[in-house]
Amino acid sequence: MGISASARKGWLAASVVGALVLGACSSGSSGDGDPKSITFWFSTSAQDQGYTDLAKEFEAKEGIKVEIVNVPYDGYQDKLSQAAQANALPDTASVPSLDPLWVNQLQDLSSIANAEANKINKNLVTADGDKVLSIPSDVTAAGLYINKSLFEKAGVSYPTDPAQTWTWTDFLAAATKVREATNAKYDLVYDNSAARIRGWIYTHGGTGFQLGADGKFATPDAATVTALTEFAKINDDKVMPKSVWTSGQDPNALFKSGQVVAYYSGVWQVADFADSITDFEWASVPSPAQPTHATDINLGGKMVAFNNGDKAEAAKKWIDFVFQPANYTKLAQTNGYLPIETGLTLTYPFEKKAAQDAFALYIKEMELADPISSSGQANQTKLLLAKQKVEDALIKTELAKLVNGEQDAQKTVDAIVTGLNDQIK
Amino acid sequence: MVFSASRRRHNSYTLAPLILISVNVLLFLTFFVWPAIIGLAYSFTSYTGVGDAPWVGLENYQELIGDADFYAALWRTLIYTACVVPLMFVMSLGIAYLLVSPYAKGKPVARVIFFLPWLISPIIAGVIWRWLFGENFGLVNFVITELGGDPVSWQSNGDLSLMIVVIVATWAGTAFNMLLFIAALKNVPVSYYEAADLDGANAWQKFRKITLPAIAPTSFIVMLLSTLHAMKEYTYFVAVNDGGPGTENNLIVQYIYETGFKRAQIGYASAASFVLLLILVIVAVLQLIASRRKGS
Repeated sequence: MGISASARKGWLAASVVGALVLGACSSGSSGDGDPKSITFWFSTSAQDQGYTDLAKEFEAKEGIKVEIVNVPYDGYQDKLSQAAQANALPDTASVPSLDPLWVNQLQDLSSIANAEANKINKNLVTADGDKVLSIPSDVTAAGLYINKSLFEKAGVSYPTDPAQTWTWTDFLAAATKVREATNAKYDLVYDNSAARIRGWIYTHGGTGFQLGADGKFATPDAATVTALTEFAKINDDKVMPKSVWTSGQDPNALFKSGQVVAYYSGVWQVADFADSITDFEWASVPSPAQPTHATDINLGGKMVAFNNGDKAEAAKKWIDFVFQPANYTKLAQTNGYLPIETGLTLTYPFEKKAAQDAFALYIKEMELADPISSSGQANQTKLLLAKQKVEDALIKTELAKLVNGEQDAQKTVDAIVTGLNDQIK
Repeated sequence: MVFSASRRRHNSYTLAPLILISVNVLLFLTFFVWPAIIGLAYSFTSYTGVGDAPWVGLENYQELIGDADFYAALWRTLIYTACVVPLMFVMSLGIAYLLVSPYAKGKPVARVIFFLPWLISPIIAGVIWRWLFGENFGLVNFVITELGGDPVSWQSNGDLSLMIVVIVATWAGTAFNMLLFIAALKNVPVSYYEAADLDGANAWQKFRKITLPAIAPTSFIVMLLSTLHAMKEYTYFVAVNDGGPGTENNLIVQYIYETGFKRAQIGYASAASFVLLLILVIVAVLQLIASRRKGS
């Protein structure tokens, strides 16, 4: 009556296979395992050396290895969400934004943020009451770069002091003059992102997409609609190539080709340009103000530590290590960060004067910027603390329709406001 | 004793297949059936990816009926499928026909060359073609302008943009179908052609009256798989033109992705997914019926 030997063998084999499959399917929580090794996720195409160097020093000092995983930016947020659902979050990460889906799994970083020695700008940390959820690795801002060689060849001047900057009209007139004198292809390329378009709207005096008192996104003012109409108009394949905003053409590559007079992007480009542009001289110049002097002040990667069981302590230790002034100075210098800590003496390792000047200019620009410049990241924090989240990538999609002539500016802003509010019903 | 031996045989013949398919069944249930059930459940909710999933019944499906963007994506998907499937069929059959021809030279090398696109990741293939047909600094426009012409709007013209993806998908998809056709063509009995030669049939008559009917089952599989694949195309559009210009070439899968993940309307996107599933099932059933009628 007992199970035959062959049947026992069969069931044993089935059990082994089943166990293997279930093992493969299980989440493999990173909270288990060797606490002498932690994972650190971040996303960058250029600023990685600083973390690699610090990870080596951290391992030498604490005996904890930091496995750095550079995740492609597109889909990074989705990957984190999926990791949270699969109970497989990394131990630490530098993330573009926090997500209500996993915000309750974050460790409190207040001891690091409040440490006197660190001198972290507490206005920019993300806090829920006394609990500090994340500390940004750096401050970012949007700004304008020019192909200095083309300006010099055309004999056209440009401002150097943010206090006496030009208007967009002046800038575009100058850029057209340069393009025509040098046979360049375009006046300007403009990063295809929701963050950058905020800079365009604010500098044109618009308020853009702001949370109202009722916690919903309000309908933008007329200046925003006018600014977006103007933006669509200059995507005419002369002033700007239409393909950047309509078909995902890479503006960075276009500027680096040397055939574009100017590029509106962010401070993170400085480190990239310092290394990779060798065919022409470039310069960071004051952003046009028409009439508002503004930018889009945002936070670089937000450093977080997850509550991953026996790795939690090591994870927090890594974040603490990163923000110790001596270590953070190295990180900011190597990665080319605008610092979140005050009182540091930073010597960026760029050989090119253009890169050194760019940082000085960005710091001045942020001092002069209208307070609306930081409203984008402030809105995100407000939503996060209300356990809500919006994907502002739809702004890109709706603007692509506008630039492609599928809808007008009014319909575009209406669709954006509706789309944003649909997410926080 | 006889009974016992029979039972042992019975056990081994029952258990072995069960064990062998159990992994697949488990994977199928875990990664297809279970997510599909969850997806179907979400399609009746207004889930945004965060928090609760409030039940809305058929509201998402009702909204889809009046959604112009959904119809635009569906229409573009049908146009794309109608272009790419026949083109891929003709290309793969034509190349296969040449590669089994006794008159063709250098067949092994040609097979490798024609099969290479199948080995390249779709994203890489898309990037390669983007470099070729990049509007601003692409190779093709460079050649055109060097020859004195005006650059062509390969990316910012919706129809040209679609055409490029049709070419990319045909280029990449031809290889696999070509292999299927080569196998089918080699199985056509030579005696048929010899008899036709005796009757004085020309090449076209032999192709139409012998080859095409003989490879009909393979043709059916190629058409079915190509159609289903084309209606789910996503990668090439994202890699070549990001579904652009604007949203003109957002095919149905990209529409679902954008709605679900960029607009955080998981429930609505799930409903759209199930409509697509229904369409694909109808396409497959219609093709099956047509194939059986032809067979009978």
